[in-house]
Amino acid sequence: MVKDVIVPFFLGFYHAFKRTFTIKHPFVRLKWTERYRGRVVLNVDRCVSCRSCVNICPNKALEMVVYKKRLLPQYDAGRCCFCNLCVEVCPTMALSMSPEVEWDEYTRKGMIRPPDRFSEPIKPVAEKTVTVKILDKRRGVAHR
Amino acid sequence: MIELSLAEIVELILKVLIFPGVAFPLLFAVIAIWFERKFLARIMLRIGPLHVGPFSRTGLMQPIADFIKLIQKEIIVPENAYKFLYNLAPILAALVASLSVAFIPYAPKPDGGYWVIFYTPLSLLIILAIFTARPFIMVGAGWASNSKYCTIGALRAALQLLAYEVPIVLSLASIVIMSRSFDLARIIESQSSIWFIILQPIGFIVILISMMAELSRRPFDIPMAEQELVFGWPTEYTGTQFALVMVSEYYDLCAVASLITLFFLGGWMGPAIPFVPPMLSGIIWFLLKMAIVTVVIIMGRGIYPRLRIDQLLDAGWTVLIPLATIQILITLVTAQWWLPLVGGG
Repeated sequence: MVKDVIVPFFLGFYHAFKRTFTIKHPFVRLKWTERYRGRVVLNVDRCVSCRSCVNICPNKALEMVVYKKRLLPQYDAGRCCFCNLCVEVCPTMALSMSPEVEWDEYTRKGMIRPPDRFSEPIKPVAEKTVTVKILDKRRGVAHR
Repeated sequence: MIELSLAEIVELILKVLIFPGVAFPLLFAVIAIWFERKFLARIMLRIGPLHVGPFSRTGLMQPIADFIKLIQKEIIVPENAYKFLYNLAPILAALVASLSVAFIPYAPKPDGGYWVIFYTPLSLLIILAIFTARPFIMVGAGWASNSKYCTIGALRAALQLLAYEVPIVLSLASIVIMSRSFDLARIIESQSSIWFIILQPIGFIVILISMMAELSRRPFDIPMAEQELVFGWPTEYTGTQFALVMVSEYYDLCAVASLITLFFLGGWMGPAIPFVPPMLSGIIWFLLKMAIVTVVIIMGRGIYPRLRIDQLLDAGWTVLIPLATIQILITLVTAQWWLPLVGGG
């Protein structure tokens, strides 16, 4: 019983001088894993307007619209469930999953991305502020 | 009329307004709140307050920002509350908690006497009276709020009083036997050759645990158990009244840390610091020991789980009271050996 009272005391002091687990998120970001499923990005040059992605989408997040005299998919981020089916089915690899997860709109309609915004490249993150997940034997996951 | 010289008036104002008086417990409360949040966060591998104030990533001004926010808020009185007592209780709590600092001597003065607002040879009894008054304010506030959480919290506070009050008084008895005085200053003086923590380790442990229960801090925060009773007896308080309740808790922490320093750690006793006048070095030693005791008390919140009310009462009656009694017996039996060690006459 005495051990139960005294050992946490030293453990508390030991933890107080350790590196914190929290990441100061807007200033420091986690590096996503390679196959992280974030926003879908369209490569307009590769698209052949085959409609496969629209047909397979389970949530009807994709829809074909006319854009600059071409038939291209339009992306509704609010409906997307990030299932990766459209990326898998695309015959020309025009669609890909990006690691971007942070985007916000003021309206529901703003979540719908027409082909020009659908094909926007992801925002670059400064190399300096990226941290990497590492495996800590004592605590499971830690950050570096 | 008592004639006071100018120097005495200046000294009195200095005592009442700055050092042991108004400013010191407030500053202690601000620093303790900040330290508690930051230190607990570090124990839990979090960061804690981050953005407010100077020195980036310290959050130094967070308690003051919280205080300003609380002052701006509306004071809400529940519909069926007993309004007089409800509004009086936080003021009384802060007042009673800040009273005890007036009787604690913080350093000896160079011309004899002590740096204390009101010197009396029976200061220990007054401190005990002040400490016993606090649960009754809790009970009054909880009853007057007319809310189930507040009422249950108040009843728990009254029950908890039974667990810690007797061990505190019993282990103080052995200190009084040793120093042969009810005077807090004399208790410190009698530790000039050896601290009481070495002579009475059992009494120290008993009084540390009982004082933590008195403060209702984490292992013993039964009256305000956040997971069971939203916030215990001060649940209904908002705005400035809540700020007063919070500040009164940290006033009490200040008083308790001072008292433990005074009873067991030798108060202002310590090696003289070079180039510093003896009174100032006494104050520095006192504050240093106080800081260590505060860290130990705050630490309990981060590492121990809360006891149930029956467990606390069980521990109080079957462990703490016998231990305190054993300490008294040991003190009496070994009196002939320690008597030459205890100074102060």
